[in-house]
Amino acid sequence: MLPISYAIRNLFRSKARLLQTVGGSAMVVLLVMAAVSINEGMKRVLSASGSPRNVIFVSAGSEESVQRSEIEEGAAGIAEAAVSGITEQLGVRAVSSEIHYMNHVEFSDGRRAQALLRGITAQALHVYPEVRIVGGHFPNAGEMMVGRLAWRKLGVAEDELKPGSFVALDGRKMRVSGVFAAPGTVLESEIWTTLGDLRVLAKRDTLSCVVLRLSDPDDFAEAELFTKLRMDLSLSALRESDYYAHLTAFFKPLRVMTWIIAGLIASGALFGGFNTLYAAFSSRVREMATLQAMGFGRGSLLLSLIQESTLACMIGAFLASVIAVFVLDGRTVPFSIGAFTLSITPDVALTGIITGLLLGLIGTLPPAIRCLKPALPTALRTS
Amino acid sequence: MKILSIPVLCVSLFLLNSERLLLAESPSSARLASETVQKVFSNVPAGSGDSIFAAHKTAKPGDEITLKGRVMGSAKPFVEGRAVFILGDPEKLTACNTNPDDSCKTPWDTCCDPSELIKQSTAVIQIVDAEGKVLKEGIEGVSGLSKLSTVTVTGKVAKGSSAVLLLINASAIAVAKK
Repeated sequence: MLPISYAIRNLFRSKARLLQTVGGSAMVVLLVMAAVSINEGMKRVLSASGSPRNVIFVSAGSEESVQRSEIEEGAAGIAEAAVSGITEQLGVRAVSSEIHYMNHVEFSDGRRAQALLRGITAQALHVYPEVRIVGGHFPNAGEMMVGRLAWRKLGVAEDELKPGSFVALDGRKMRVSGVFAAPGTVLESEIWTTLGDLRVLAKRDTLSCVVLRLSDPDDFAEAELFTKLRMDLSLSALRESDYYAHLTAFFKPLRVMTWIIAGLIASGALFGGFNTLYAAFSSRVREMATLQAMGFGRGSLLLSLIQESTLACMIGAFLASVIAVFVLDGRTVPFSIGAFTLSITPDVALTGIITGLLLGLIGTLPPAIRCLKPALPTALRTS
Repeated sequence: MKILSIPVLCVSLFLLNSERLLLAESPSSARLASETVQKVFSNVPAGSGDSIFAAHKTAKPGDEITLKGRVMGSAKPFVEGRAVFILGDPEKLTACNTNPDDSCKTPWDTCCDPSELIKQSTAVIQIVDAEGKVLKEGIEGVSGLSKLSTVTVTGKVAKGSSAVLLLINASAIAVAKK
């Protein structure tokens, strides 16, 4: 068995090759970590956004999209009175009438950005207990309250949405009254206005949905029963968690695309690595043959070559991990219905390390086998 | 002894297998239903059943009527854990799978029909307790009751029924064999 010091010494024989291997593996590991992080982040934000205790009433046939749903204004009151098991605080039942609307908001310099708007009443705060007003106040008529990540979704500076600033919605100037947080949910990327304002702006006399919060998730059957006993209202009951689970499935192709892109770039880098190692190892055929003549077996030589390459790849993986922690961790990524934060979790870090290890192992085997394959007399005569 | 043990073994194997076969063949109708539900499903509906669409116009709360239809008119015609289902008028509503070249996965939602027509052509069938509350037990699978089953129901028109909402407190339900 060759000592590990032999592999370490060999590593620094060609600085350019070492740089190439380390750089290539760092890039691949970083890409894989980014892909895992994006996938996890998107799944995490969508699953955290839906509570199994919240029930969404949408119009029958609009289960796929709340924005498309239209239900009668009076449905909220009827549901509030008829459905048992709704959470109640200080005599207020947790039932929120909402309009979901997507439109452009315009900033003072003429820039426009597509925003997710939700028209609500104060009862919404009973339905979404995770919502906390972190600055300013709840919106009155002519005002809007923005999620703390809305600036990222809109692609503007955070200051442009601070309380007191103005944003135009459908030509109407509206004041930002406050900022709210709803950690880890898509709500943080939304803009909330009063139900009355959004009814006028969206030019609709119906609601998009009625959301109610149950004391016990098992009471969902009561909500569903209500929709059957009031077939005249043409409602459909959805668990909020199921709605977001469906959205998670909807965004699956997007997540698969990130994997495909990462995979394509990684395979490009892998083949590049093969090339480098083929070139590097082919110049060492005689060296390997000499070591064989001295009594070292092919297996121990192969192990030494793998050690050498894996060490380089692990340096790359370490570099990628450092870059990921400083560059990716905490970065907010916008997508069509909100924004999510990238997080370098232990799982993501472990994936990076495994990728680095695999690169070292898989990338070395073919060139190393080719290097050790020639018969000893032929190999010793190689120039 | 050995001679005796072989037939005993064979008989035991046969009994074990036949029990398995019985369990495998028994449809979901074998689910345990409460006495009230069993009674409703064992009672025979009075008459062959009227059109649901017509009943919407004539039935008043308290009337005893018999309706015939198919379990359809909603994407989820049953409520899990509750004795209720939606009965649709097959003369007015079309289960999408009866349309040629329609491979709809949920034909019982009658999505091809306008929502107003669905309202006027469906009845909500419920089994209630002595206090008039819907029983807290699912009835999908009882006596073979499933989506798109043809069902005849006799019951009283419940309070709250209107021209657009027909609620029936069922006293007899018969599921037609497929």
